[in-house]
Amino acid sequence: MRSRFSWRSTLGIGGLLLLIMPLMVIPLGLILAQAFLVDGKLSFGNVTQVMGSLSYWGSLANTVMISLGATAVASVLGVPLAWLFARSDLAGRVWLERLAELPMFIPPFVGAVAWTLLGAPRIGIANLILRKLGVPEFIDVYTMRGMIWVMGLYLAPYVIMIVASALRSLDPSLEEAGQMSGLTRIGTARRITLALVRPAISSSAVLCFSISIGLFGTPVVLGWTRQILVVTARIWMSSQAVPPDFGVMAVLAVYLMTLSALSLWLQQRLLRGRSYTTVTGKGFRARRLKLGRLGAPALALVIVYLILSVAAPIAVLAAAALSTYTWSGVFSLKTAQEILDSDDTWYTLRNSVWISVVAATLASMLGLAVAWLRQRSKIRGRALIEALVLLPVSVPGIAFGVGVMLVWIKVPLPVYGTALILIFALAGRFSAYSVRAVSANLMQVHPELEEAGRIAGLGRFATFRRITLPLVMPGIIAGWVLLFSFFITELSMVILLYTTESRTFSVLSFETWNTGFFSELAALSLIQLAIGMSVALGARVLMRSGFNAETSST
Amino acid sequence: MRVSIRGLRKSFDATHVIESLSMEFTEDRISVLLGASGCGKTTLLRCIAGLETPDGGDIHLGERAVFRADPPLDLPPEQRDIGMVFQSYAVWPHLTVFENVAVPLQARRVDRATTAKRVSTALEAVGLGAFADRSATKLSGGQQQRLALARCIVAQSRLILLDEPLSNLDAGLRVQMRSELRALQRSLGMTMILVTHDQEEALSLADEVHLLDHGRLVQSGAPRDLYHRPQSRFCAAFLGNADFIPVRGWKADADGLALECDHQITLRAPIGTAPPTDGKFLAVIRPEAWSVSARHSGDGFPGTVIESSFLGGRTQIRLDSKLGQITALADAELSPGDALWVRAWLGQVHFIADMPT
Repeated sequence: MRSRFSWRSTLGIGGLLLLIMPLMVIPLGLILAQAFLVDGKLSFGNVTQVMGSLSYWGSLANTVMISLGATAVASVLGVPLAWLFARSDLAGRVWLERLAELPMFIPPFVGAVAWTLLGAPRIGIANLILRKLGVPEFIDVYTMRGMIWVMGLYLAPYVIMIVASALRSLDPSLEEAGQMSGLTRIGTARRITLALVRPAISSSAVLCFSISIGLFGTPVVLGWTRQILVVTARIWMSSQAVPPDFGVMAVLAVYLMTLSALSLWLQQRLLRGRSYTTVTGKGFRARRLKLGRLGAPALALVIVYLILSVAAPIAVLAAAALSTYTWSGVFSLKTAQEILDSDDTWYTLRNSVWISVVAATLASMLGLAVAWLRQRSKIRGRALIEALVLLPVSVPGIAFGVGVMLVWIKVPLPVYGTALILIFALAGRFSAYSVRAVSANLMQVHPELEEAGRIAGLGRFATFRRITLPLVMPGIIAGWVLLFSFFITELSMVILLYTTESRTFSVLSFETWNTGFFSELAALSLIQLAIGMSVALGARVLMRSGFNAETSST
Repeated sequence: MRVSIRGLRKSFDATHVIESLSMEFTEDRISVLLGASGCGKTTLLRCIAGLETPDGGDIHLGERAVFRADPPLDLPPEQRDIGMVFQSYAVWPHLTVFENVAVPLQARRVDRATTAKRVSTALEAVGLGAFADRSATKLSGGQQQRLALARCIVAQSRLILLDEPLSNLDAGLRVQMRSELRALQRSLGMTMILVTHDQEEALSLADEVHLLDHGRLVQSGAPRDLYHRPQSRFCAAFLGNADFIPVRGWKADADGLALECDHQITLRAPIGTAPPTDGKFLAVIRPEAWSVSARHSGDGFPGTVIESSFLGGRTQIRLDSKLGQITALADAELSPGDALWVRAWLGQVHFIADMPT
C-alpha cells in the first residue's frame, strides 16, 4: 500500500530525519567542518599541519600499502577456496565452507593478539619451535609483511562468501557452451568462469580494501612495537593527546573517507557497462569439477587455511591463558580464576552487552522504518533518506567515531561521556545493515499481501502490525543478530568515545594489551572470541531451523 | 450493490491509464471487465477498491460515495466494505487457513464464537472445510485460490472484486472454478466485478461484459450481445474470430436480406436480420456463420484452403476467395490447397459502419 501525503506522514518523516541527521549526517559534516574551518572561516591550517608532516604521509602510505597487500592476500586465498567450495567435488566441502566463514567472527583485535603469540619474534611459539629445531627464526608478525598476512588471512572469508555465491548463481550452460566451442577445461575456467565472476572478485576486493583501511586493533597490536603506524593508529594517538587534537583527527578522518570513496569509485569504473546478470531464477545444479589426483592437495590447502586462521589462534590463546608465565610450560587456572573473579571483567562485559542490545535495537527500528519508507511509501525524498542511512557504513569506523565525537562535544546534552554516545555511534554507522536485511525481506513480500489486509478491513497501522511486521520479522532478527555480533566486540569507534563509566569489554582487552599482561590478554581475547562466534553460530542455527522458510506467497 | 463510475481519470506519471470513464455495474450480477493488458481494467478495479487514488471523477458504491474529486473524498479501502481476490491470491503465509479467513471478521470486531462459525461456513462453501488448521503455504495453487475466495466472502460484503482470479490456474481447474464462481454468486447474490483478458472466460462467466480499450469503455452488454452485435470492429475482433466483408448494397425479400458484395457476389442473411443503416458498412461474419462444402452447390463462391487447424470437435480453416481471406469451420479433414465451395447462405450476421481503422 502506497501511502498518501498527510500530516501523519509528514510527522513520521520529520521524526525520522530528527534521528538520521545527528546520528548519520551531521557527524560526517562536522568532520569536514573541523578539517577545513577555523573559527567559522575556510582555513587550510589543519590540512597543512598534517600534510606538512612527513610522519603523517608515512602513515598514509602504510595504510595504503598494508590494505592493498591484505586485499591481495585475501583474494589469492579466497578465490581458489571459493572455487573449491562452489565448483569442485572437494571432500567435505559443505562443512569446510562453514568453517571457513568462522574467521569473520573472530574480532580483528583478537586475531592479532593470537598471531602475536604465534609469530612474534623471540616469544612467538612458532619461533620457539623453529629455534628448538635449529632453524633460524624467520617469522616476524611485527613487520609490514606480518600485518599484511594476518589482515589478509581474516579478510579472506569475505572474498570466499561473495565469490562462491557468484559462482553458484552462474548458469553452468555458459561454461558448457564454452566447452562446446572448443575451449579446454582450463580455457573455460579462465575465459568464461573467471571472466564472469570478475565483477564479484573486484567487489570483494574493494570490500576488503575498505575494511582494511578502517581496521584499528590489528595494525596497532602488530605495528606498535616497530612503530609501523597506520592512519587509524594516528587518529587514536591524537585523541590521547591533551588536549585532543581535533583538527588533526578530522583531517586524518578525511584521508580515510577519501580512500574509501576512491575505492568505491574505482569499483564503479571497473564495473561500468559490465552487468553480468546471469541469474535466471531457473533452478540448476552447479556442475562440479572432479579434482581427481588434485583432491588431496586441495583438501590440504583448505585445512592449512583453517589451522592458520581458526585452530592455531584458538589453541595458542587457550594455552597462553592457562600459562602462568610466558611459555613457562607450567599451566594453571590461576589467570582464568582471576579474570572471572574480577569485578572489572563483569562490569565491562555487562556494559558491552547492554550497549550492544540497545544499539542493535535502535538500529533495527531505524532500519525497519527506512526500509518500509523506501519500499512501500510514495513519499518524496525516500531515496535520499535511504542514501543518507546507507552512507556512514562506507566511512571507516574510527573516522565516523571522530565525527560522532565532534557532534556531541558541542551539544549540551548528557551524551558525550556517557554510554549514549557509543549507542549513537554504533547505531549511526551500522543501521545500513538493518536497512539491507529488512529491505531484502520486504522485497519478497508481495504488496498484494498488505493490500489484502486493507481490503479485509484493517487500517494502515493494523495492516503493518498484523501483516507486514510478522512477514519481515526474519529480516529484522537476522539484521539484529548480525549487528549485535559486531557491536559486542567493536573497538575502533568505541576506543575514541568510551569513558570510565562506559568502558566496554573490548576496551578492557585493549587496555590489557597496553599493559602487557600476556596471560590475561589471552584469556580476555578468548572470551571475546567465544562471544563473537557463539552469537554468529546461534544466528545460523536460528536461520536454518526454517525460521525464514516461507515469507512470500506464491 | 450497484457501482457507478463517473468521469473517472487516472494517470501514472505522464501515461493516461483511464480517461474520463463513466459506467455502471448492475447490482447483484457478475460483471466482467475485459480488455487487453494495459487497457486500464486492473487500475479501474483498484480505484474501486481504494488501492489507487484517481485523479478525478467519482465512484459510488450503491448510494454511498467512496471517491469524489470535489469536494475531496477518498475512503480508505478498509472503510469501503468490499471483498477482493488478488491475482497472486495474497494468502498470508504467516497465518493458518482459518486465521486467514478470520481477519476480515476480526477487523469488523465480530465476536469469537460468531467468527468461528462464519469462517467454517465460508471454508465449507469453497470446499476447504477440512483444511482449517493447515498452514496457508501448504496449500496448492487451486486451494490458495479457494482460500482467497473464502476470505473475500466471509464478511458478506455486497461487492466482491476479482483481479484475474483464474489466470494462474491450469486449464481444467479454470473451467471448474468458473462454474463454482457462478454458483457462489447465485447462492450469495452479491455484486461481483471480475477482471480478465480472456474473452472465453468473460463470455462464459459474465452476466454483463464491459470491454475496455486504452482506458475507455468500448461496449457494455450481455455476452451474447457483444458477441453477436458488436458495435465496432475492435469489439468484434476481441471477442473471437470474425470476417469483415464490405457490403455495397442490400435488398430485403421474403427470404431475408440479399447483400451485394464485391465481384458480383451476393450473400444471403436470414430472416430477422436487422438491415444496415445508411452509409458504408461491413458485414460481421463469425466462422460458424459460414457454411462450406466440398461440392459446388447453388449460390456462392469458390475458395481455396490456405490453413487448417484441428480444434478437436471441428476444424477451423482459412480460405482464400474473391472476398479476401475468410475463416470458417468444417467437419471434414482438409489440407492447404483443397478447393471448397462457400455457400451464399449465412447464419447470424451483424452490420457495423465501415470506418477507417
